[in-house]
Amino acid sequence: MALKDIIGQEKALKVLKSCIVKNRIPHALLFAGDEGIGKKLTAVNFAKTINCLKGGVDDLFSIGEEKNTGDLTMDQIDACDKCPSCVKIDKGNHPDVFIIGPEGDSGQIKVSAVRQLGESLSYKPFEGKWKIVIVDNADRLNQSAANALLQTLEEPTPQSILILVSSRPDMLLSTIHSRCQRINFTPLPLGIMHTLLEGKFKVPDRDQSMLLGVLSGGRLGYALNANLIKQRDWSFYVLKQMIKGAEEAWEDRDAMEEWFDWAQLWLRDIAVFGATGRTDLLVNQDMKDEIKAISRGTILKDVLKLAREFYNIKRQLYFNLNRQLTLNYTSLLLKKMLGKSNC
Amino acid sequence: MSYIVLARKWRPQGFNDLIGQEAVVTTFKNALSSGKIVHAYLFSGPRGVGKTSSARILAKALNCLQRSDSEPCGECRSCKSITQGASVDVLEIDGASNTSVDAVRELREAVKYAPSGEKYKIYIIDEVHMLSTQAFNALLKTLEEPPAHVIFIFATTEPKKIPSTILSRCQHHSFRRITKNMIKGQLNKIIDTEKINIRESALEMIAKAADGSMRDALTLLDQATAFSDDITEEELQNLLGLPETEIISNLSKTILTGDISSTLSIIKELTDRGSDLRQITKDLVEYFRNIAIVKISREAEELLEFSQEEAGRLRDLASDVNIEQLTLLLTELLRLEGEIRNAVNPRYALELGLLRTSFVKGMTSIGDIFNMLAESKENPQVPGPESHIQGPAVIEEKKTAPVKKTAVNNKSEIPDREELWHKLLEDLNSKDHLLACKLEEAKIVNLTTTELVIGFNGGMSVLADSVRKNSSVIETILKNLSAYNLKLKILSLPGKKTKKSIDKIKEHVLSEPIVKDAMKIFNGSLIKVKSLEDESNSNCAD
Repeated sequence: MALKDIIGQEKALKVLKSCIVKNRIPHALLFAGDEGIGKKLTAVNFAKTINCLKGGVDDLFSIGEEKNTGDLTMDQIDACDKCPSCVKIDKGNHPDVFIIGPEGDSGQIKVSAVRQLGESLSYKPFEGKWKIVIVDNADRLNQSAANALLQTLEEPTPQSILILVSSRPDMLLSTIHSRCQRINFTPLPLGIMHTLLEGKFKVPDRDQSMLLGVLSGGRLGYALNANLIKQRDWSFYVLKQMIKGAEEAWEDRDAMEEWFDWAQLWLRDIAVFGATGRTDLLVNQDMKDEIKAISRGTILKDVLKLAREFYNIKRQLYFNLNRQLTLNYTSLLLKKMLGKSNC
Repeated sequence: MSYIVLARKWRPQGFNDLIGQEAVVTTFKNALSSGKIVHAYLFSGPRGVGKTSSARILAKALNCLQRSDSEPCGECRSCKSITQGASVDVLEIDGASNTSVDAVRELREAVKYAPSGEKYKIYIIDEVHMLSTQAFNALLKTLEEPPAHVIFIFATTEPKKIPSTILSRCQHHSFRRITKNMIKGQLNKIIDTEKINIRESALEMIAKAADGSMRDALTLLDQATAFSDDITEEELQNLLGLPETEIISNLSKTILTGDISSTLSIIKELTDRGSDLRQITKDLVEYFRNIAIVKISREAEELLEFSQEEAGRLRDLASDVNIEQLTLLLTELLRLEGEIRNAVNPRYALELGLLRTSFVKGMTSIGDIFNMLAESKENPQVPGPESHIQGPAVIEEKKTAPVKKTAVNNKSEIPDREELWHKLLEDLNSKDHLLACKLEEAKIVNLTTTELVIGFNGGMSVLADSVRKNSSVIETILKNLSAYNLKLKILSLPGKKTKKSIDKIKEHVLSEPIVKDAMKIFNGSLIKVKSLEDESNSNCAD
């Protein structure tokens, strides 16, 4: 893997590469964007690139030397993927590259990890040119950890780079935001997704690749999950069962949480058809008829109310909601709001 | 050397470099020149407005060896060591990393010793809000009466988290957000010195996106310069992930007109292009807020720091909606912004939310409804002339006893039945007072050219019988009065209304246009039909 293998994030890569070319790498970066679009991958490969022993950037960072970088083009900037440094980073045992992330049951990054980080950053790099810290899921920094990071983030020791990676950048403190240069990672445009899925990943069917592209919301990581369509079909099956009044729906908690995400999709399609009567706006193009059938018997307001209620349930799931009660409540709601339809 | 970001490079080194904090700076200058230095300061304010910088400048000024007025010289040994962060007597402590009571106890031990050569020993505690309660409490005694050579400076973004006992021992200075124009001015200065090529409009955008924080502005500028040598507005939008203003204004238009098909088409297009829907939602909120401000305020240009042209464009958009609708839209969008933050797939949340906004267009404010009602009273047009004339009567009819509804079918030749009834009773009274009294208890059920139908309540069958016996007398009077050969027909009415008759009334009431309109306007439903008689009866009972 190297920077060139990262697909669809040209904008972000261009920013990063031009930082390298101009030798103005900021000491704090925030990689922000949806889950599964390659943020962490980029962070690791960025680390490899600037610490790479070979290749185009070899002499760029020799301390105290002014180098003419004019003839270095953007494409040449990349990790070689072969030198010891690159291999070590790949394997996760480079002494100058640290990756921290949520740990333990709480799923948070604790202040002890951050303090340790501050300590290890206080030394000069051992063998690389840069000491690089990647904080994965930075939104999971708990309050004291986030605050403890502030000073390091503002004025770290020379030759240190902190990369914060987050799919929910809005959850970060504004004091963290203002200290980092934010690099936005955007979902892939549908066209590119489509080409990639058909070309590189051999999705045979045109309709299917389109569907995958839309369902995944432009996140390649999601689209390549082989079960995406299967999961969708499962969620629709459960939805129909619930309208009919089934007593079992989800096998476990995870399935329950997942289902509420999917439910938004179905409610969205039902509502969209109900409001516009157009099928070309639907996400699930292949299920047009079934959506039409459900949508006909419903009132738009009810569907929207239901969607909001599901959103609220989804949020409360974090507070350990009883599964059976949730099921009863959900299926009652569904029966009440969508039950009149004939599906 | 590794690159020093602009925000660090351009950290203010003297009070004159500090922009946007005139009040605080003046206070410090006066305090320094008059020598009124207190032993504890607390600086609070949003991120990136100069709290930590001020703390350092103050420390420098206090310890400067050759300070003439209030500005630190920046060149003496003391100033230099503070700038480098190497001073022995100015200790900068990260409050968020040293939160425990132990750290404070250590500090208390160290406070006792005199400075190693400078005038003051200065403790700068940054992010002080993160200290634990015990740590704060352990600090109280020292903070109240520290040794003469010690000065504490606390800096925090969240003064609310600081115990009141600490607050009351410090001189509190609040730092303000820096205005857009001031940020722009400072940026202009920096780009001149740093020789950065950037368009005026792009600079404006940075100043706006910085949202009152100088550090944010410099971070953005840094990013922009790394990206391109000659920064244009489009590149910046691209870089910041900001959607083009045109998209937002188009989207706002379709939302305002309630054109849900177009709204969804725009979202579809945006998703296909891979835009950041979360950012778009945020911008929508801001846009609608601006529209609302333009709608209610005449000085919107100043409030929003907008040009005439921009404000004018917003005014056009705002002309079609009333403020109630805008408020509702904003509420909905704000909620949406929160929802979309947690959504796995922002598209669905956004679309569902925008579908919700489509109802707002159809809503009419209470004020408008009153106006409409007032208008419809003055000039009858909507429900048609017939129902207008009958309007007030119908409402009464709805409330009166069920038996009256045939009044509509009256033919012109037949005298008004109420009139006829009165005359009948009068005439009868002079002839047969007793019979008249009995007849008074009856009600008219129907009146046609051939017969007069009256009814007695079920309990009054005795009266009915006696009237029936004397029907010939009454019929003669009727003939005299109306010139018709009217026959008297006597029914006995049910004492209480049966369910069936109530249903009938309901149906009747429901078919009245004014009732229909009322239900439509208020989106209501008919709950109960009550006759005026019942009401007066119950009132009597009370």
